[in-house]
Amino acid sequence: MKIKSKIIICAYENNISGITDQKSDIKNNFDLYIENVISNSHPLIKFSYNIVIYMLVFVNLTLLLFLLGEKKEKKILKFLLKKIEKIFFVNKVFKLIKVYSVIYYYG
Amino acid sequence: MDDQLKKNYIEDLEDISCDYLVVGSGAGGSVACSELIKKNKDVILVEEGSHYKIDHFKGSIADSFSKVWRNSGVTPILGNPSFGYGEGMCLGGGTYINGGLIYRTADTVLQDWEQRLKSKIYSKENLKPIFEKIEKNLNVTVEKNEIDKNKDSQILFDISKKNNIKCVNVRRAIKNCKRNNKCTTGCVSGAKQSTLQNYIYPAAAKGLRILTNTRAEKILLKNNKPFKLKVKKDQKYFKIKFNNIILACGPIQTPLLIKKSFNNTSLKSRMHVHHNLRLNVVFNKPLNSEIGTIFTSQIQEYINDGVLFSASNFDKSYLFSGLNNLNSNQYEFLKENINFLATYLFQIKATNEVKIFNFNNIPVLHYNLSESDFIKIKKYLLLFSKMMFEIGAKKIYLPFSNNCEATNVDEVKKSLDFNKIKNLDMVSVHGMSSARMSLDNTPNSFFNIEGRSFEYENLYCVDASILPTSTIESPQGSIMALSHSITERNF
Repeated sequence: MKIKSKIIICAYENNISGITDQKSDIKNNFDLYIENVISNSHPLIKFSYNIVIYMLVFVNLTLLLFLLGEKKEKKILKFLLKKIEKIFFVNKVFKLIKVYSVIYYYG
Repeated sequence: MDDQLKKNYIEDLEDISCDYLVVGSGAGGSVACSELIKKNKDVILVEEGSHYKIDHFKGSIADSFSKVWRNSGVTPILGNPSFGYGEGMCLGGGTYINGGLIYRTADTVLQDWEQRLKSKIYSKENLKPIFEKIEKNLNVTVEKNEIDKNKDSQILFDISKKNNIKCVNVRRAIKNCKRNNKCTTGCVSGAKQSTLQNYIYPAAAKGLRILTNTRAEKILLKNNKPFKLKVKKDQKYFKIKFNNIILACGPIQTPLLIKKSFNNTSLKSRMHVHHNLRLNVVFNKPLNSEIGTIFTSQIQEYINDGVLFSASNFDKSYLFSGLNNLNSNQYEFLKENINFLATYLFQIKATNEVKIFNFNNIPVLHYNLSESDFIKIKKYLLLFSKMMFEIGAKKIYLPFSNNCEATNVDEVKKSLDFNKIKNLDMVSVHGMSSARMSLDNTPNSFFNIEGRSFEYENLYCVDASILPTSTIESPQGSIMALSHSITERNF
Protein backbone atom coordinates (compact mmCIF):
# COMPACT_ATOMS: atom_id res chain seq x y z
CA MET A 1 0.00 0.00 0.00
CA LYS A 2 1.27 3.46 -0.84
CA ILE A 3 2.27 5.58 2.18
CA LYS A 4 -0.24 8.32 1.33
CA SER A 5 -3.08 5.79 1.10
CA LYS A 6 -1.99 4.24 4.39
CA ILE A 7 -2.24 7.63 6.13
CA ILE A 8 -5.71 8.32 4.68
CA ILE A 9 -6.95 4.88 5.71
CA CYS A 10 -5.57 5.49 9.23
CA ALA A 11 -7.53 8.77 9.39
CA TYR A 12 -10.63 6.94 8.16
CA GLU A 13 -10.24 4.22 10.79
CA ASN A 14 -9.79 6.87 13.50
CA ASN A 15 -12.93 8.66 12.31
CA ILE A 16 -15.22 5.66 12.27
CA SER A 17 -13.73 3.76 15.20
CA GLY A 18 -16.52 4.95 17.50
CA ILE A 19 -19.38 4.03 15.21
CA THR A 20 -18.31 0.57 14.10
CA ASP A 21 -17.15 -2.55 15.85
CA GLN A 22 -16.21 -4.40 12.69
CA LYS A 23 -13.37 -3.84 10.28
CA SER A 24 -15.08 -2.81 7.11
CA ASP A 25 -13.96 -3.63 3.57
CA ILE A 26 -15.54 -0.38 2.48
CA LYS A 27 -12.32 1.43 3.43
CA ASN A 28 -10.56 -0.04 0.40
CA ASN A 29 -11.45 2.77 -1.95
CA PHE A 30 -11.69 5.55 0.62
CA ASP A 31 -8.24 6.88 -0.27
CA LEU A 32 -9.28 7.37 -3.91
CA TYR A 33 -12.57 8.89 -2.82
CA ILE A 34 -11.02 11.44 -0.44
CA GLU A 35 -8.41 12.40 -3.05
CA ASN A 36 -11.31 13.19 -5.38
CA VAL A 37 -13.09 15.20 -2.68
CA ILE A 38 -9.93 17.17 -1.92
CA SER A 39 -9.27 17.84 -5.60
CA ASN A 40 -12.70 19.56 -5.76
CA SER A 41 -12.25 21.46 -2.51
CA HIS A 42 -11.26 25.07 -1.82
CA PRO A 43 -7.58 25.87 -2.61
CA LEU A 44 -6.90 26.67 1.06
CA ILE A 45 -8.15 23.22 2.09
CA LYS A 46 -6.15 21.60 -0.73
CA PHE A 47 -3.01 23.45 0.35
CA SER A 48 -3.36 22.52 4.04
CA TYR A 49 -4.23 18.91 3.16
CA ASN A 50 -1.12 18.52 1.02
CA ILE A 51 1.15 20.05 3.66
CA VAL A 52 -0.22 17.73 6.36
CA ILE A 53 -0.14 14.63 4.17
CA TYR A 54 3.41 15.17 2.96
CA MET A 55 4.54 15.95 6.50
CA LEU A 56 3.02 12.63 7.60
CA VAL A 57 4.61 10.84 4.64
CA PHE A 58 7.96 12.16 5.88
CA VAL A 59 7.18 10.99 9.43
CA ASN A 60 6.19 7.58 8.06
CA LEU A 61 9.41 7.30 6.08
CA THR A 62 11.32 8.11 9.26
CA LEU A 63 9.37 5.41 11.11
CA LEU A 64 10.40 2.92 8.44
CA LEU A 65 14.04 3.46 9.47
CA PHE A 66 13.22 2.09 12.92
CA LEU A 67 12.05 -1.19 11.35
CA LEU A 68 8.85 -1.20 13.41
CA GLY A 69 6.19 -3.74 12.60
CA GLU A 70 3.23 -2.62 10.48
CA LYS A 71 0.88 -2.69 13.47
CA LYS A 72 3.11 -0.48 15.61
CA GLU A 73 3.70 1.87 12.72
CA LYS A 74 -0.05 2.22 12.17
CA LYS A 75 -0.63 2.80 15.87
CA ILE A 76 1.91 5.65 15.92
CA LEU A 77 0.38 7.16 12.78
CA LYS A 78 -3.11 7.05 14.25
CA PHE A 79 -1.85 8.68 17.45
CA LEU A 80 -0.12 11.44 15.47
CA LEU A 81 -3.24 12.05 13.40
CA LYS A 82 -5.31 12.47 16.55
CA LYS A 83 -2.85 15.09 17.82
CA ILE A 84 -2.44 16.95 14.51
CA GLU A 85 -6.18 17.28 13.93
CA LYS A 86 -6.40 19.75 16.80
CA ILE A 87 -4.07 22.30 15.18
CA PHE A 88 -5.72 25.55 14.00
CA PHE A 89 -7.08 25.43 10.45
CA VAL A 90 -5.65 21.92 9.92
CA ASN A 91 -8.63 20.89 12.06
CA LYS A 92 -10.88 22.14 9.20
CA VAL A 93 -9.18 19.72 6.82
CA PHE A 94 -9.60 16.87 9.27
CA LYS A 95 -13.20 17.91 9.92
CA LEU A 96 -13.87 17.60 6.19
CA ILE A 97 -12.18 14.18 6.13
CA LYS A 98 -14.23 13.17 9.17
CA VAL A 99 -17.52 14.25 7.60
CA TYR A 100 -16.69 12.31 4.44
CA SER A 101 -15.44 9.28 6.41
CA VAL A 102 -18.78 9.02 8.21
CA ILE A 103 -20.82 9.68 5.06
CA TYR A 104 -18.70 7.13 3.18
CA TYR A 105 -19.17 4.58 5.93
CA TYR A 106 -22.96 4.94 5.91
CA GLY A 107 -23.02 5.88 2.20
CA MET B 1 -37.57 16.20 -19.27
CA ASP B 2 -33.91 15.57 -18.47
CA ASP B 3 -33.23 14.14 -21.92
CA GLN B 4 -34.99 17.03 -23.57
CA LEU B 5 -32.46 19.39 -21.99
CA LYS B 6 -29.70 17.88 -24.13
CA LYS B 7 -31.10 19.73 -27.14
CA ASN B 8 -30.47 23.00 -25.32
CA TYR B 9 -26.78 22.46 -24.71
CA ILE B 10 -24.43 24.53 -26.84
CA GLU B 11 -21.96 22.18 -28.53
CA ASP B 12 -19.76 24.61 -30.44
CA LEU B 13 -18.42 27.40 -28.24
CA GLU B 14 -16.57 29.25 -30.97
CA ASP B 15 -18.11 32.55 -31.93
CA ILE B 16 -21.34 32.43 -29.88
CA SER B 17 -23.42 35.44 -29.01
CA CYS B 18 -26.75 36.31 -27.44
CA ASP B 19 -28.89 39.23 -26.47
CA TYR B 20 -29.03 38.27 -22.75
CA LEU B 21 -26.34 36.26 -20.97
CA VAL B 22 -27.36 34.91 -17.56
CA VAL B 23 -24.47 33.72 -15.37
CA GLY B 24 -25.63 31.25 -12.71
CA SER B 25 -28.73 29.06 -12.50
CA GLY B 26 -29.81 29.27 -8.85
CA ALA B 27 -32.82 31.05 -7.36
CA GLY B 28 -32.10 34.35 -9.16
CA GLY B 29 -30.64 33.17 -12.47
CA SER B 30 -33.33 30.60 -13.23
CA VAL B 31 -36.10 33.15 -12.67
CA ALA B 32 -34.33 35.65 -14.96
CA CYS B 33 -33.96 32.99 -17.71
CA SER B 34 -37.61 32.01 -17.45
CA GLU B 35 -38.91 35.62 -17.54
CA LEU B 36 -36.67 36.58 -20.46
CA ILE B 37 -37.64 33.52 -22.51
CA LYS B 38 -41.32 34.33 -21.86
CA LYS B 39 -40.61 37.70 -23.47
CA ASN B 40 -39.11 35.90 -26.52
CA LYS B 41 -35.59 37.12 -25.80
CA ASP B 42 -32.46 35.38 -27.03
CA VAL B 43 -30.89 33.98 -23.82
CA ILE B 44 -27.85 31.88 -22.93
CA LEU B 45 -27.48 30.44 -19.42
CA VAL B 46 -23.96 29.71 -18.15
CA GLU B 47 -23.62 27.38 -15.13
CA GLU B 48 -20.36 26.32 -13.49
CA GLY B 49 -21.73 23.03 -12.13
CA SER B 50 -23.14 20.00 -13.88
CA HIS B 51 -26.68 18.93 -14.56
CA TYR B 52 -27.62 16.09 -12.20
CA LYS B 53 -30.74 14.08 -12.83
CA ILE B 54 -32.79 12.77 -9.92
CA ASP B 55 -31.31 9.29 -10.54
CA HIS B 56 -27.91 10.68 -9.53
CA PHE B 57 -29.18 11.08 -5.95
CA LYS B 58 -30.44 7.51 -5.77
CA GLY B 59 -26.88 6.19 -5.59
CA SER B 60 -24.36 6.72 -2.83
CA ILE B 61 -24.83 9.87 -0.71
CA ALA B 62 -21.05 10.05 -0.44
CA ASP B 63 -20.82 10.43 -4.21
CA SER B 64 -23.64 12.93 -4.70
CA PHE B 65 -22.81 15.12 -1.70
CA SER B 66 -19.26 15.84 -2.85
CA LYS B 67 -20.39 16.84 -6.34
CA VAL B 68 -23.44 19.07 -5.93
CA TRP B 69 -21.95 21.41 -3.32
CA ARG B 70 -19.19 23.88 -4.25
CA ASN B 71 -15.72 23.01 -2.91
CA SER B 72 -16.96 19.57 -1.79
CA GLY B 73 -19.34 21.28 0.62
CA VAL B 74 -16.96 23.53 2.54
CA THR B 75 -15.78 26.99 1.65
CA PRO B 76 -13.65 27.88 4.69
CA ILE B 77 -14.26 31.16 6.50
CA LEU B 78 -11.23 32.08 8.58
CA GLY B 79 -11.46 34.04 11.81
CA ASN B 80 -12.98 33.70 15.24
CA PRO B 81 -14.50 31.15 15.01
CA SER B 82 -13.43 29.61 11.69
CA PHE B 83 -16.35 27.83 10.09
CA GLY B 84 -17.55 26.32 6.84
CA TYR B 85 -19.85 27.95 4.30
CA GLY B 86 -21.83 25.78 1.91
CA GLU B 87 -23.41 26.67 -1.43
CA GLY B 88 -24.79 24.59 -4.27
CA MET B 89 -22.96 24.21 -7.57
CA CYS B 90 -25.18 22.42 -10.06
CA LEU B 91 -27.90 23.30 -12.55
CA GLY B 92 -30.67 24.75 -10.38
CA GLY B 93 -28.08 25.90 -7.81
CA GLY B 94 -28.93 25.74 -4.12
CA THR B 95 -32.65 25.34 -4.87
CA TYR B 96 -31.95 21.80 -6.12
CA ILE B 97 -30.31 20.64 -2.89
CA ASN B 98 -31.79 22.73 -0.07
CA GLY B 99 -34.76 21.96 2.16
CA GLY B 100 -37.18 23.77 -0.16
CA LEU B 101 -38.29 26.24 2.51
CA ILE B 102 -39.84 29.29 0.90
CA TYR B 103 -40.45 32.37 3.02
CA ARG B 104 -41.87 35.73 2.06
CA THR B 105 -39.48 38.49 3.11
CA ALA B 106 -40.34 39.61 6.66
CA ASP B 107 -42.34 42.85 6.95
CA THR B 108 -39.67 44.47 9.12
CA VAL B 109 -36.99 43.72 6.50
CA LEU B 110 -39.14 45.12 3.67
CA GLN B 111 -39.83 48.28 5.67
CA ASP B 112 -36.09 48.68 6.20
CA TRP B 113 -35.46 48.25 2.44
CA GLU B 114 -38.15 50.81 1.65
CA GLN B 115 -36.40 53.35 3.86
CA ARG B 116 -32.93 52.56 2.58
CA LEU B 117 -33.91 52.61 -1.09
CA LYS B 118 -36.45 55.45 -0.69
CA SER B 119 -38.72 53.50 -3.02
CA LYS B 120 -41.79 51.33 -2.73
CA ILE B 121 -40.87 48.94 -5.56
CA TYR B 122 -39.97 46.22 -3.06
CA SER B 123 -42.76 47.03 -0.60
CA LYS B 124 -44.98 44.31 0.84
CA GLU B 125 -47.87 45.36 -1.43
CA ASN B 126 -45.78 45.33 -4.60
CA LEU B 127 -44.10 42.00 -3.83
CA LYS B 128 -47.35 40.27 -2.79
CA PRO B 129 -48.46 39.23 -6.34
CA ILE B 130 -44.88 38.16 -7.10
CA PHE B 131 -44.73 35.92 -4.02
CA GLU B 132 -48.13 34.47 -4.94
CA LYS B 133 -46.75 33.65 -8.40
CA ILE B 134 -43.59 32.03 -6.95
CA GLU B 135 -45.64 29.98 -4.49
CA LYS B 136 -47.89 28.78 -7.31
CA ASN B 137 -44.93 27.95 -9.59
CA LEU B 138 -43.15 25.98 -6.86
CA ASN B 139 -46.29 24.44 -5.37
CA VAL B 140 -45.49 25.92 -1.94
CA THR B 141 -47.62 24.17 0.66
CA VAL B 142 -47.90 24.32 4.43
CA GLU B 143 -46.38 21.24 6.02
CA LYS B 144 -48.53 19.10 8.30
CA ASN B 145 -47.02 17.37 11.34
CA GLU B 146 -49.40 14.42 11.31
CA ILE B 147 -47.92 13.12 8.02
CA ASP B 148 -44.66 12.34 9.79
CA LYS B 149 -44.10 9.28 11.87
CA ASN B 150 -41.22 11.06 13.54
CA LYS B 151 -41.81 13.35 16.47
CA ASP B 152 -38.85 15.76 16.38
CA SER B 153 -40.90 18.58 14.85
CA GLN B 154 -43.93 17.79 17.07
CA ILE B 155 -41.72 18.41 20.13
CA LEU B 156 -41.49 22.07 19.06
CA PHE B 157 -45.29 22.39 19.21
CA ASP B 158 -45.23 20.80 22.66
CA ILE B 159 -42.66 23.42 23.72
CA SER B 160 -44.74 26.18 22.17
CA LYS B 161 -47.87 25.07 24.02
CA LYS B 162 -46.08 24.76 27.35
CA ASN B 163 -44.32 28.13 27.08
CA ASN B 164 -46.98 30.00 25.10
CA ILE B 165 -44.59 30.91 22.29
CA LYS B 166 -45.12 31.09 18.52
CA CYS B 167 -44.48 27.92 16.55
CA VAL B 168 -45.66 27.50 12.95
CA ASN B 169 -45.83 24.81 10.29
CA VAL B 170 -43.36 25.79 7.59
CA ARG B 171 -44.10 26.38 3.90
CA ARG B 172 -42.12 24.19 1.54
CA ALA B 173 -41.84 23.79 -2.21
CA ILE B 174 -42.82 20.12 -2.42
CA LYS B 175 -45.24 17.89 -4.29
CA ASN B 176 -46.04 14.46 -2.81
CA CYS B 177 -43.05 14.35 -0.46
CA LYS B 178 -42.14 10.72 0.22
CA ARG B 179 -40.32 11.50 3.49
CA ASN B 180 -37.03 10.02 2.29
CA ASN B 181 -35.05 12.33 4.60
CA LYS B 182 -32.54 13.22 1.88
CA CYS B 183 -33.38 16.92 1.35
CA THR B 184 -29.84 18.30 1.61
CA THR B 185 -28.09 15.62 -0.42
CA GLY B 186 -30.64 15.76 -3.24
CA CYS B 187 -34.31 14.76 -3.22
CA VAL B 188 -34.52 11.17 -4.48
CA SER B 189 -38.23 11.17 -5.31
CA GLY B 190 -38.39 14.43 -7.27
CA ALA B 191 -40.92 15.79 -4.76
CA LYS B 192 -38.86 18.87 -3.97
CA GLN B 193 -39.83 21.64 -6.37
CA SER B 194 -36.62 23.38 -7.38
CA THR B 195 -36.21 26.19 -9.87
CA LEU B 196 -34.60 23.62 -12.18
CA GLN B 197 -37.90 21.80 -12.58
CA ASN B 198 -40.18 24.81 -12.54
CA TYR B 199 -38.21 27.56 -14.26
CA ILE B 200 -35.25 26.17 -16.22
CA TYR B 201 -37.00 23.16 -17.78
CA PRO B 202 -39.98 25.22 -19.07
CA ALA B 203 -37.58 27.90 -20.38
CA ALA B 204 -35.49 25.17 -22.05
CA ALA B 205 -38.61 23.88 -23.80
CA LYS B 206 -39.02 27.36 -25.29
CA GLY B 207 -35.45 27.69 -26.55
CA LEU B 208 -33.15 28.63 -23.65
CA ARG B 209 -29.56 27.78 -24.63
CA ILE B 210 -27.50 26.24 -21.83
CA LEU B 211 -23.82 25.85 -21.05
CA THR B 212 -23.02 23.68 -18.02
CA ASN B 213 -19.57 22.97 -16.50
CA THR B 214 -18.59 26.43 -17.69
CA ARG B 215 -16.93 28.91 -15.36
CA ALA B 216 -17.23 32.67 -15.87
CA GLU B 217 -13.70 34.06 -15.69
CA LYS B 218 -13.90 37.73 -16.63
CA ILE B 219 -16.22 40.31 -18.14
CA LEU B 220 -14.45 42.11 -20.99
CA LEU B 221 -15.00 45.76 -21.83
CA LYS B 222 -15.10 47.56 -25.17
CA ASN B 223 -15.36 51.36 -25.09
CA ASN B 224 -15.99 51.03 -21.34
CA LYS B 225 -19.03 48.80 -21.95
CA PRO B 226 -19.22 45.09 -21.03
CA PHE B 227 -19.50 43.14 -24.31
CA LYS B 228 -17.96 39.68 -23.88
CA LEU B 229 -17.65 37.10 -21.11
CA LYS B 230 -14.50 35.02 -20.96
CA VAL B 231 -15.42 31.50 -19.85
CA LYS B 232 -13.51 28.29 -19.12
CA LYS B 233 -14.83 24.87 -20.13
CA ASP B 234 -12.85 21.63 -20.29
CA GLN B 235 -9.61 23.56 -19.57
CA LYS B 236 -10.16 25.76 -22.65
CA TYR B 237 -11.06 29.43 -22.76
CA PHE B 238 -13.87 30.85 -24.91
CA LYS B 239 -15.61 34.20 -25.25
CA ILE B 240 -19.37 34.76 -25.38
CA LYS B 241 -20.60 38.00 -26.91
CA PHE B 242 -23.68 39.62 -25.37
CA ASN B 243 -25.73 42.78 -25.39
CA ASN B 244 -26.76 42.49 -21.72
CA ILE B 245 -25.26 40.43 -18.92
CA ILE B 246 -27.16 39.34 -15.80
CA LEU B 247 -25.06 38.09 -12.90
CA ALA B 248 -26.49 35.39 -10.65
CA CYS B 249 -23.37 33.52 -9.53
CA GLY B 250 -24.11 33.74 -5.80
CA PRO B 251 -22.95 36.00 -2.97
CA ILE B 252 -19.27 35.04 -3.19
CA GLN B 253 -18.71 34.50 -6.91
CA THR B 254 -20.62 37.60 -8.10
CA PRO B 255 -18.49 40.17 -6.22
CA LEU B 256 -15.39 38.16 -7.11
CA LEU B 257 -16.25 38.31 -10.83
CA ILE B 258 -16.85 42.07 -10.52
CA LYS B 259 -13.48 42.56 -8.80
CA LYS B 260 -11.67 40.41 -11.38
CA SER B 261 -13.31 42.25 -14.26
CA PHE B 262 -13.23 45.88 -13.19
CA ASN B 263 -9.98 46.83 -11.51
CA ASN B 264 -11.14 50.26 -10.45
CA THR B 265 -14.28 49.11 -8.64
CA SER B 266 -14.86 50.53 -5.19
CA LEU B 267 -16.86 47.45 -4.20
CA LYS B 268 -15.84 46.30 -0.71
CA SER B 269 -17.83 43.03 -0.91
CA ARG B 270 -18.85 42.17 2.59
CA MET B 271 -21.39 39.43 2.93
CA HIS B 272 -24.15 38.97 5.49
CA VAL B 273 -24.64 35.42 6.77
CA HIS B 274 -26.89 33.37 9.00
CA HIS B 275 -25.22 30.97 11.41
CA ASN B 276 -26.53 27.46 11.94
CA LEU B 277 -25.75 25.75 15.23
CA ARG B 278 -26.79 22.18 15.98
CA LEU B 279 -28.12 20.83 19.23
CA ASN B 280 -28.29 17.04 19.47
CA VAL B 281 -30.89 16.08 22.06
CA VAL B 282 -31.62 12.70 23.65
CA PHE B 283 -35.22 12.41 24.84
CA ASN B 284 -36.98 10.10 27.28
CA LYS B 285 -39.24 8.65 24.55
CA PRO B 286 -38.69 7.35 21.01
CA LEU B 287 -38.86 10.03 18.30
CA ASN B 288 -37.87 8.02 15.21
CA SER B 289 -36.24 11.13 13.75
CA GLU B 290 -34.72 9.13 10.90
CA ILE B 291 -38.13 8.67 9.31
CA GLY B 292 -39.26 11.97 7.88
CA THR B 293 -38.17 15.12 6.16
CA ILE B 294 -36.05 18.18 6.91
CA PHE B 295 -38.56 19.77 9.30
CA THR B 296 -42.20 20.66 9.40
CA SER B 297 -42.35 23.25 12.17
CA GLN B 298 -40.32 26.17 13.42
CA ILE B 299 -40.29 28.30 16.56
CA GLN B 300 -40.62 31.89 15.34
CA GLU B 301 -41.25 33.64 18.66
CA TYR B 302 -37.79 35.26 18.57
CA ILE B 303 -37.77 36.22 14.89
CA ASN B 304 -37.38 39.94 15.68
CA ASP B 305 -34.18 39.04 17.50
CA GLY B 306 -33.01 37.24 14.31
CA VAL B 307 -33.39 33.79 15.89
CA LEU B 308 -35.22 30.73 14.51
CA PHE B 309 -35.35 27.23 15.96
CA SER B 310 -36.32 24.07 14.10
CA ALA B 311 -35.62 20.36 13.75
CA SER B 312 -33.04 19.25 11.20
CA ASN B 313 -32.60 16.31 8.87
CA PHE B 314 -31.52 13.42 11.04
CA ASP B 315 -29.64 10.26 10.26
CA LYS B 316 -26.58 8.52 11.61
CA SER B 317 -24.20 10.17 9.14
CA TYR B 318 -25.44 13.71 10.02
CA LEU B 319 -25.21 12.91 13.71
CA PHE B 320 -21.78 11.31 13.88
CA SER B 321 -20.11 13.57 11.32
CA GLY B 322 -21.09 16.59 13.43
CA LEU B 323 -19.83 15.33 16.76
CA ASN B 324 -16.14 15.50 17.67
CA ASN B 325 -13.97 14.09 20.43
CA LEU B 326 -16.50 11.58 21.74
CA ASN B 327 -15.15 8.73 23.84
CA SER B 328 -16.20 5.11 23.32
CA ASN B 329 -18.83 5.26 26.11
CA GLN B 330 -20.43 8.32 24.52
CA TYR B 331 -20.52 6.59 21.12
CA GLU B 332 -22.13 3.51 22.69
CA PHE B 333 -24.72 5.67 24.46
CA LEU B 334 -25.66 7.45 21.24
CA LYS B 335 -25.83 4.23 19.22
CA GLU B 336 -28.10 2.64 21.85
CA ASN B 337 -30.34 5.71 21.98
CA ILE B 338 -30.52 6.53 18.28
CA ASN B 339 -34.34 6.36 18.22
CA PHE B 340 -34.51 8.76 21.14
CA LEU B 341 -32.32 11.37 19.44
CA ALA B 342 -33.16 14.45 17.43
CA THR B 343 -31.03 17.18 15.92
CA TYR B 344 -32.25 20.76 16.22
CA LEU B 345 -31.05 23.70 14.24
CA PHE B 346 -30.65 27.08 15.86
CA GLN B 347 -30.30 29.79 13.22
CA ILE B 348 -29.16 33.31 14.02
CA LYS B 349 -28.81 36.37 11.82
CA ALA B 350 -25.24 37.60 12.31
CA THR B 351 -24.42 41.24 13.03
CA ASN B 352 -20.89 41.28 11.64
CA GLU B 353 -20.16 40.73 7.96
CA VAL B 354 -17.89 38.24 6.20
CA LYS B 355 -15.11 40.01 4.29
CA ILE B 356 -14.45 38.61 0.81
CA PHE B 357 -10.90 39.05 -0.47
CA ASN B 358 -9.75 38.27 -3.97
CA PHE B 359 -6.43 36.46 -3.61
CA ASN B 360 -5.15 35.62 -7.08
CA ASN B 361 -8.72 34.89 -8.24
CA ILE B 362 -9.42 32.71 -5.20
CA PRO B 363 -12.03 33.96 -2.72
CA VAL B 364 -10.54 34.15 0.77
CA LEU B 365 -13.14 34.83 3.46
CA HIS B 366 -12.68 36.29 6.91
CA TYR B 367 -15.12 36.79 9.78
CA ASN B 368 -15.20 37.54 13.48
CA LEU B 369 -18.33 36.83 15.50
CA SER B 370 -19.33 39.90 17.50
CA GLU B 371 -19.36 39.72 21.27
CA SER B 372 -23.05 40.74 21.26
CA ASP B 373 -23.92 37.84 18.93
CA PHE B 374 -22.02 35.43 21.18
CA ILE B 375 -23.98 36.69 24.19
CA LYS B 376 -27.20 36.25 22.17
CA ILE B 377 -26.21 32.71 21.11
CA LYS B 378 -25.50 31.78 24.73
CA LYS B 379 -28.79 33.31 25.87
CA TYR B 380 -30.84 31.31 23.37
CA LEU B 381 -28.84 28.10 23.84
CA LEU B 382 -29.69 28.31 27.53
CA LEU B 383 -33.35 29.12 26.82
CA PHE B 384 -33.83 26.32 24.25
CA SER B 385 -31.97 23.83 26.47
CA LYS B 386 -34.20 24.77 29.41
CA MET B 387 -37.34 24.29 27.32
CA MET B 388 -36.01 20.94 26.01
CA PHE B 389 -35.31 19.65 29.53
CA GLU B 390 -38.81 20.71 30.63
CA ILE B 391 -40.34 18.67 27.82
CA GLY B 392 -38.37 15.50 28.57
CA ALA B 393 -34.81 15.86 27.26
CA LYS B 394 -32.31 13.60 29.08
CA LYS B 395 -29.12 14.91 27.55
CA ILE B 396 -28.13 17.76 25.24
CA TYR B 397 -24.95 18.01 23.15
CA LEU B 398 -24.15 21.70 22.78
CA PRO B 399 -22.64 23.16 19.57
CA PHE B 400 -19.06 23.53 20.76
CA SER B 401 -16.03 21.83 19.26
CA ASN B 402 -15.44 19.90 22.50
CA ASN B 403 -18.98 18.47 22.34
CA CYS B 404 -20.11 19.55 25.78
CA GLU B 405 -22.89 17.33 26.98
CA ALA B 406 -25.33 18.50 29.62
CA THR B 407 -27.93 16.58 31.59
CA ASN B 408 -29.51 19.60 33.29
CA VAL B 409 -29.74 23.39 33.04
CA ASP B 410 -26.88 23.98 35.50
CA GLU B 411 -24.52 21.92 33.35
CA VAL B 412 -25.60 23.95 30.30
CA LYS B 413 -24.83 27.17 32.20
CA LYS B 414 -21.40 25.83 33.18
CA SER B 415 -20.58 24.88 29.58
CA LEU B 416 -21.70 28.27 28.31
CA ASP B 417 -19.54 30.05 30.89
CA PHE B 418 -16.55 27.86 30.10
CA ASN B 419 -16.62 27.97 26.30
CA LYS B 420 -15.23 30.81 24.20
CA ILE B 421 -16.17 32.08 20.73
CA LYS B 422 -13.39 30.02 19.12
CA ASN B 423 -15.00 26.80 20.41
CA LEU B 424 -18.32 27.43 18.62
CA ASP B 425 -19.11 24.74 16.09
CA MET B 426 -21.24 26.34 13.40
CA VAL B 427 -21.81 26.44 9.67
CA SER B 428 -23.55 28.76 7.27
CA VAL B 429 -25.51 28.08 4.10
CA HIS B 430 -27.11 31.51 3.72
CA GLY B 431 -24.91 34.30 2.36
CA MET B 432 -26.28 37.54 0.95
CA SER B 433 -25.94 41.25 0.36
CA SER B 434 -22.32 41.22 -0.87
CA ALA B 435 -22.79 43.60 -3.85
CA ARG B 436 -25.95 45.17 -2.59
CA MET B 437 -28.34 47.49 -4.35
CA SER B 438 -28.54 50.99 -2.97
CA LEU B 439 -29.81 54.45 -3.75
CA ASP B 440 -26.33 55.89 -4.17
CA ASN B 441 -23.06 54.15 -4.96
CA THR B 442 -21.90 53.41 -1.40
CA PRO B 443 -18.72 51.31 -0.90
CA ASN B 444 -20.63 48.07 -0.21
CA SER B 445 -22.96 48.44 -3.16
CA PHE B 446 -22.56 48.03 -6.90
CA PHE B 447 -26.13 48.02 -8.21
CA ASN B 448 -28.97 50.53 -8.19
CA ILE B 449 -32.52 49.77 -7.11
CA GLU B 450 -33.28 48.26 -10.52
CA GLY B 451 -30.44 45.75 -10.08
CA ARG B 452 -28.44 47.60 -12.75
CA SER B 453 -24.79 48.49 -12.22
CA PHE B 454 -24.06 52.13 -11.35
CA GLU B 455 -21.13 52.01 -13.75
CA TYR B 456 -22.30 49.85 -16.68
CA GLU B 457 -25.82 50.16 -18.04
CA ASN B 458 -25.97 46.65 -19.59
CA LEU B 459 -24.78 44.86 -16.42
CA TYR B 460 -27.42 43.55 -13.98
CA CYS B 461 -27.50 41.32 -10.95
CA VAL B 462 -30.39 39.19 -9.65
CA ASP B 463 -28.87 36.91 -7.00
CA ALA B 464 -28.43 37.05 -3.21
CA SER B 465 -25.65 39.64 -3.62
CA ILE B 466 -28.09 42.47 -4.35
CA LEU B 467 -30.28 42.10 -1.26
CA PRO B 468 -29.96 45.49 0.49
CA THR B 469 -29.64 43.82 3.92
CA SER B 470 -29.80 40.36 5.41
CA THR B 471 -33.13 38.56 5.56
CA ILE B 472 -34.10 36.73 8.74
CA GLU B 473 -35.26 33.45 7.17
CA SER B 474 -33.86 31.51 4.22
CA PRO B 475 -33.32 34.07 1.43
CA GLN B 476 -34.52 31.90 -1.51
CA GLY B 477 -38.00 33.48 -1.63
CA SER B 478 -36.57 37.01 -1.40
CA ILE B 479 -33.99 36.37 -4.15
CA MET B 480 -36.65 34.93 -6.46
CA ALA B 481 -39.01 37.83 -5.76
CA LEU B 482 -36.36 40.44 -6.54
CA SER B 483 -35.31 38.59 -9.67
CA HIS B 484 -38.94 38.42 -10.87
CA SER B 485 -39.42 42.10 -10.09
CA ILE B 486 -36.21 43.25 -11.84
CA THR B 487 -36.64 41.14 -14.98
CA GLU B 488 -40.35 41.92 -15.34
CA ARG B 489 -39.72 45.66 -15.08
CA ASN B 490 -36.46 46.13 -16.96
CA PHE B 491 -36.44 43.85 -19.99
